[in-house]
Amino acid sequence: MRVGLFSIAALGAVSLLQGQRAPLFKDEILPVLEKSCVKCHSPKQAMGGLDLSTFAGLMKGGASGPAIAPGKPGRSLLWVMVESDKMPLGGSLTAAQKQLLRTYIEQGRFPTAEMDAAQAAREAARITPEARRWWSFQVPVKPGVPAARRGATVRTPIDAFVDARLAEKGWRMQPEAERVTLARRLYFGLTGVAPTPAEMEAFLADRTPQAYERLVDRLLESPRYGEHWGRHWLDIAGYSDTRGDAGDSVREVSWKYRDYVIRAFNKNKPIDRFLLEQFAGDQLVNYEPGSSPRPEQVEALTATGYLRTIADITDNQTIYEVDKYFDALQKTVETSLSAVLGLSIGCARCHDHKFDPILQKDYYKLTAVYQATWDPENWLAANLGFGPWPSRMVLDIPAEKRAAWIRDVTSSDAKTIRRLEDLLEASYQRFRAELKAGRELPAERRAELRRVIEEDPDLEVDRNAAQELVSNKELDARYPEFSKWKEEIAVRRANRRKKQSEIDPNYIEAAWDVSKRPSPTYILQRGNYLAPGAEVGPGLPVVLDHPAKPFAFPKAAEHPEWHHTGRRLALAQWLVARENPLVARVFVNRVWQFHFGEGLVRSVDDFGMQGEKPTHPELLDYLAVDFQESGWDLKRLTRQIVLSQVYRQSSAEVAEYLAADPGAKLLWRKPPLRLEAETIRDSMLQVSGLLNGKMYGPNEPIQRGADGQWVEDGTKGDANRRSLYLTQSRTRPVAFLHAFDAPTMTADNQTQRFRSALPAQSLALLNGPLVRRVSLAFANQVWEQSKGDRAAALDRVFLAAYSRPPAARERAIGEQMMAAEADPKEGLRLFVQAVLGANDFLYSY
Amino acid sequence: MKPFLSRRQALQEAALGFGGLALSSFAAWGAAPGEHTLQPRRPHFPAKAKNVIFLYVGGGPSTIDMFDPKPLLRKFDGKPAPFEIKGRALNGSQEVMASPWEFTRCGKSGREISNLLPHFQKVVDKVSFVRSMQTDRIDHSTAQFTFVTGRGFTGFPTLGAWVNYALGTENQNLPGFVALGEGASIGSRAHSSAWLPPVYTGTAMRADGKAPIYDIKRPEDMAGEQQRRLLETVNALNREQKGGHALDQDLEARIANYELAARMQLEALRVADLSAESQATRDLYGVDEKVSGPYGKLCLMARRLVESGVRFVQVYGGGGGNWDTHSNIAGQLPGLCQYIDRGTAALLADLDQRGLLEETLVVWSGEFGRLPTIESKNATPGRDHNPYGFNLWMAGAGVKRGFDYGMTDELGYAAVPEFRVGHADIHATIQHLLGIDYRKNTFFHEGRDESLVGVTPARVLQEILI
Repeated sequence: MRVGLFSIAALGAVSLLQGQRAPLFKDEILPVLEKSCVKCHSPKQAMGGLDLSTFAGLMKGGASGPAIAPGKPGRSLLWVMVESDKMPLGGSLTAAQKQLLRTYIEQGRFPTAEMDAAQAAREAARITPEARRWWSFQVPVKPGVPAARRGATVRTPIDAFVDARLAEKGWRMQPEAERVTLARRLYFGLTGVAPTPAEMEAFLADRTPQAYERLVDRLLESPRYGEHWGRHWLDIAGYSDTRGDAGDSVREVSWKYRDYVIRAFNKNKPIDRFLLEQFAGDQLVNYEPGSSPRPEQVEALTATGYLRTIADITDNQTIYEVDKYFDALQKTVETSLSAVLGLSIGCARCHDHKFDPILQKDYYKLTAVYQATWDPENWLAANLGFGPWPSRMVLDIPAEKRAAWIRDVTSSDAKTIRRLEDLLEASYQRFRAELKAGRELPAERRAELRRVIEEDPDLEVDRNAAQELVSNKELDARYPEFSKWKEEIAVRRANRRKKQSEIDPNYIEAAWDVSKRPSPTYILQRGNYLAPGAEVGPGLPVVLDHPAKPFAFPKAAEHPEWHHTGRRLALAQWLVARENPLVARVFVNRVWQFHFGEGLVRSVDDFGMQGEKPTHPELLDYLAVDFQESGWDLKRLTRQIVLSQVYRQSSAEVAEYLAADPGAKLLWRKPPLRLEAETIRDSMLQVSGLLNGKMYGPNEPIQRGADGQWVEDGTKGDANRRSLYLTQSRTRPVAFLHAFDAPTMTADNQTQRFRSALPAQSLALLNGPLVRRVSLAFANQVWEQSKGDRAAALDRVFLAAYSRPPAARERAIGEQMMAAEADPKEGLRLFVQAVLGANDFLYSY
Repeated sequence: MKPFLSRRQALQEAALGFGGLALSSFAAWGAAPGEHTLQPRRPHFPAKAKNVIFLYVGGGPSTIDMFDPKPLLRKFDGKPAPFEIKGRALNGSQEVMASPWEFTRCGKSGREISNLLPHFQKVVDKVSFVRSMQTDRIDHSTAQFTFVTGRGFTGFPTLGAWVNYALGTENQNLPGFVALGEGASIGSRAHSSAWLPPVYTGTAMRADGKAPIYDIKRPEDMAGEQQRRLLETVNALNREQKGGHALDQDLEARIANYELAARMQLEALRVADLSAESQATRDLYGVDEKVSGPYGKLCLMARRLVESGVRFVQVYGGGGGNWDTHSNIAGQLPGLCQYIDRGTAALLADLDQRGLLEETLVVWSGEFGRLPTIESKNATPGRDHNPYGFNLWMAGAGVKRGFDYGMTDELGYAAVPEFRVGHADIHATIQHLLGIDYRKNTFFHEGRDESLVGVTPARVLQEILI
């Protein structure tokens, strides 16, 4: 088959995005019109009163009437004219172009008045009274605490609610777990690290009735608490130390947000304030973009790192990036809001939500709230890699030192280094040419040639030129001056690198409104940024808004003193308002989930109609309202939970209950939980005496280990710190943590950990570098402390790893293992490895 | 995000025709406590292909210089193209560059293959070309994401993960989805399961007989006898520690896992031991050659993996250098071709002679091709990205031999519209050959039934199927 060369190629290029679906005006239709029609039907000429150079012109039509009747080619003048080849004058469109226009008229979307009305009717139909009455859209009311059954252990209101549901079945909670088990549960749950033998001993020695309560208070005050619960929140925020761009570059100062989170939990920052700062810290302190932040602004600005966690692949500044801008904007809206609203609003990016009463319009109203921050028409690069490009970084340097600092950085050696490299490459090429021509260069000729090269102001070199016959290496060997040259480049490079790595801590990765007048937000048809529909302003989802008195976002123009739109702050204030039906419930439910493995609403991210209903609706509401009334006091909430009998009961199986309710939805026991990846690693380091408790600061580096896996790089920085301080990469996850389901944040965020049991975990515990290293340290320490006494050594191993002495059979197994080795210390090393790989170490019961 | 369906939900959805899959094997494999296992599952309809080897050449290989000669390039060589060429508008030009290499008419199908690929020339009759590929992404990362996940952004499960989710895998002692080699610039996201459960994620393996998988190798300071004792001791402790949790499947699974890990250790080391192959086979793949050796090993290992019942093997072909030949294509492409040519051809020939090509689908592609015009106009010019028209080939199970589908225009610039094939079509076709209805292979995520193809229009490319 022979194809017409020109027409096919042209069409192929312009209709890149066209598949089977309706063509897009801007991308596919306009090029055809421009080629064949606009010469006569332009704003200048507009023959027949028709301007085909814009969408508006096409819709307006000309003297003979409308050019297009949507859906009806036969009644569309445009089609009638081109189909009959009456237009374009003196030519005709190709069959393919005609087909394209016809498909567009048939299937394209045209915002006509009728369609707008139809759309409004459709939207109204979605927001039915029933939809408004959905349980999670009702402001929670604090229910009365039910009366407890005779004989039930009721320590806190929580127990009364749980007992009430158990009573329906005639079931009872389990008795309190044994003290060691309970204390371990608490250590893992509150601090994420196993207790030391001394800590356990102290707890067991306290026989007063308040012993457990005192332990709770002590652990809530431990700095380990903020690290462990900070990690939970970082999961929800989708935190990662890499950008997620093509090369997955490291975010140099992401750790500042991580530290902000840890401090917030340790200080017990009220959660409403915590959310306000993360959603709108810049607006709370009225930060002026480009200025040096005042000391009191720094914390709030750092908090907005919450809005900087999504994979941002917009660092590579080319002209094709606009859709990536939209993606970054939209992902930020979706992730940050679904984290607190517990609704999957992402569905509405392309169309009205199928199941929940969330309209596509709602989605774009929320997008408008963020538009000034991530403005696709006023974009900031994610990082600093592009010199003069404005970037999404706040320079935290006092105003008076700022100018000098910038001068110092920008007057870097980059140009000199580049020039030196060019000179070197050019010299290679010239010298090579001389040698190939059979002319060995004498010293004076070399000096002369070099001068000529150096004096060439327009020097251009090809860095990829083939090194035919004579390699650079051979030239280096022949002419010693090249090595000196290279050395100079290396020294300058090293200095520059050093200078740059030292300046990084002065930046804060923050979010702020790039301008007070963001570009307009359009409803994107099918989510396609090339198909903008109606314009919308900031607003709340209709179903959550007041039907008569819609929530009013501020008008920035009325606040000349503001450096921002005020939109995010208004949204955040609505989120933490008493009347918000979702945020407190969703937050309390997440806290519950971290303690029990499952939430009271099991679908922790979906409180909508596809989600599961709460197993204990009154309890959820009680906790949510109580939490709000307490001033969003998280430690108080946590205390309520861990002091309850529900939390304190044993995890033992009851065959009858288990058969009827295998997931313990009725909370007839505390479900056993496999520990999170970080808790396993941190506890391994703890029991072996290796754990380095240093808090805060830059991420610890990672490196490739012997078999290619990523491991911590103990040679640089501090070794053996808690896992949340290791560089958390999207593409280079630390293998041990990855095997135990630590998230890589390849999919936005991870609000609930997988607790998988995969063979990779067994392999890591049999052969992995971490467990081998830890076992050696553990065994050495124990052996030394017990002075070679095998029985004492076994006691110490079990006390450190399991907080209890060995059972008789366990002791026998240990002794057998030591006896099997010529060197009992080697036997002990193997045995402690087995102890760390067994279920009593990996689970919280 | 949502980790995984509860068992109840899964059963409910199974009853509703959840992907139409027969989830008969729930919890059958002791290794996985959850509802998601790699236990083999029945496809939707009888499959032509059992396994897939996906030869993924990231960076944008210049298919017009490899498989798809365009005589007109000679005529316009050094002259402006007769129509507008849209590149990335950075260093682009309108000046046509003829392929610097000769092509030879090969095999019974008589197709012209570049002399850069002498080995591939001999097996060309085994493959079907799709000569009218098109993608809507022009830069590497988004095009690579599209190529493996169907979406231009990070955060979606990859083809191999979807296939494992649908079908599981034959050999429970090996991962179901293996990624070999390096070279996708998006890194491990090119074989990630994203929000599909982690059991379906691609396991990175290396053609290293001693350490093919992380932690698979017994530490040097541990004797085999010691490892056996370690394993027995862990299991003995686990049995002692069951206490009040005798019915707990999760704890049970963990015990079974140690046994599985031990078997995996043997099995993975066995598969990665290429010395078990005959010298003739090693020579066929050129594993001892300097240039072709590294990729030859990956290809040989890919064969050994599918032979051992691994469902999906993804081989990265970027390790030989950078296929992103913006400049000096004449200097770079020969070496790149040499790096993959022998192994690729050997894989096809070897699979065929063993009868494995009947049940194994082999797919070769980059994320896009390269333009017929010059970029970097200097002494060593190159070519810019071309998402508008490029070639992909498929061979094996259910695919015609020696067939060509579609074409680009006479300069090799853009796919002829009526033949245009997108990645969604390829994803649909691969799943179809595996017996999967691409519309029904769905997973409930964030409030909707997601699938690999999603809302992108797609069709099974029936024309190239037997």
